[in-house]
Amino acid sequence: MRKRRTEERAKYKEAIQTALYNRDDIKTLLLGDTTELATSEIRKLFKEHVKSHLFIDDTIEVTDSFIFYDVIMPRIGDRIKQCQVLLYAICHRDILDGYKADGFRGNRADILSQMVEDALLNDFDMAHEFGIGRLMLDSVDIYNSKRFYGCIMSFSVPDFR
Amino acid sequence: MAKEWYLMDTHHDTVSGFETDDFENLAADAFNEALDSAVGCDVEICNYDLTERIKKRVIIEGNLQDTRLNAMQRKILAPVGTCVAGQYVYYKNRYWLIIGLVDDNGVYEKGVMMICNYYLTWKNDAGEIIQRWVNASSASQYNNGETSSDRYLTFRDDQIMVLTPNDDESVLIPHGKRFIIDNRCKIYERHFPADTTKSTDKPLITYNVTRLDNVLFTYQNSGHSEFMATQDEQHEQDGYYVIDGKGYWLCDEPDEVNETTVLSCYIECDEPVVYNAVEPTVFTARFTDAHGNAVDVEPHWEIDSTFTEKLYVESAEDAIMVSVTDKKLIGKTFTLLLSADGYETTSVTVMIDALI
Repeated sequence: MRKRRTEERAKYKEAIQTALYNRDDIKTLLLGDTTELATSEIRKLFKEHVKSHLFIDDTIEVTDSFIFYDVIMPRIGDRIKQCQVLLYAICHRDILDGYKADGFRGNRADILSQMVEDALLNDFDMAHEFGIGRLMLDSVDIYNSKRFYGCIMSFSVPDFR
Repeated sequence: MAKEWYLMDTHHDTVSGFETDDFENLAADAFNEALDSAVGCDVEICNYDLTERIKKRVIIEGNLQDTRLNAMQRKILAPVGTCVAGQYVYYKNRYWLIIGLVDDNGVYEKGVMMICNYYLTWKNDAGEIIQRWVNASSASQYNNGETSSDRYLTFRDDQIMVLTPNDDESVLIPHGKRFIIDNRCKIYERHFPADTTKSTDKPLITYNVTRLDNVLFTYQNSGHSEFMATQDEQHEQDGYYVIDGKGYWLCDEPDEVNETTVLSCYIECDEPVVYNAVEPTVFTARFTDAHGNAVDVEPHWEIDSTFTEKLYVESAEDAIMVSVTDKKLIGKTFTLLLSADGYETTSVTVMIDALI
């Protein structure tokens, strides 16, 4: 059977979701104190705050923080295809300031982006979960809308076709 | 002089000058001081089925006994209102039954307690298993234990007096009720194979109730009950039965004990899914008895799959935790089976999934 070219998108998403979930600091930033919650409840809330598709403004009413991501393949060559992860680390403007976390600086969205970086790049095993070589951070852009603010992180990694 | 003039705070009236006032004021305090000294000891006052236990500091007298009968009896000295007849005192890892009317002299109260030497088990009319610590003593100490109507037939012959609390179950024991009162049961039980659910081939000493004394030692709001049990011949069905996962020594009961009861168990979990590369999913075993009440039973877990060796499995008491860190297993399923002695096996199909 012919290999599915787009299967990597799903595999990448599974790995990203798991990597983000396994970080307690990200869960605390997104969900608040979870010590009193059952594991299934935490997983459910986490899935509501971390989505494997891109963000559409005005579709979210709650004042919270979110991570949205997707995987694209801008170029599929003869042997190698380029895989790119676009990740939105965004927060509602009302809760942007005043969040503190040990070892992190900046506002809530800044902190969230640093945590994401730790989860996907600074964990050696995780960075090598994707494609050939390791995941690389290519660029960081600003997401600036009426209610939400944050950054758009672009990661890339080559993979076999 | 007014009490307010005194520097030391006291709840007693220290200004009357009468010796009787001083005695009344300080007697209970003096007893409490004695409790705190080396003659005091910590005990637990328990109700008839040991479900309520209250820790108390008391003085136990008579623990340096000088006769065999005294060895089975103690006196308890305690602050007024500590205990009543019919309660148990858990003292030095033994249960003692308070048998006399507990009364006080204004300073402390005093009760007489008897050692409990047997854990009596029976089934009540509703078919429930009842267990009470009792004091059993010989009521025919010097007979030879046999009687015969003629020279061809000899019967066992013995009477024992059994002291019980006077709770409803103990008082409602009917005439003719049969009990196994035999310490060999413990030895038999130690040598049973682990999967034993019934054993009626062991020689046992059995008794039936021939006299009930449930009024003589009742003190309106407390008391204990007594009955005389006469040894009879062992019946075919007298023996060891595992009921709801627990073993009991019972005399033959009207059919009930021999009924095959289908007991149920089930597996409890948040969702029957194990997510790859995250924390384990916890599955908890739940067992119920024939009446639907939760009971503690040691669970036996089994996993039916072709990739069991790739699962991380850890068990603790009544739960099993399963995790996986292999993305190739995402989308696959395995069956988790739960069983226990006397219980029907139950299972749940668990899916391995990605968290996304």
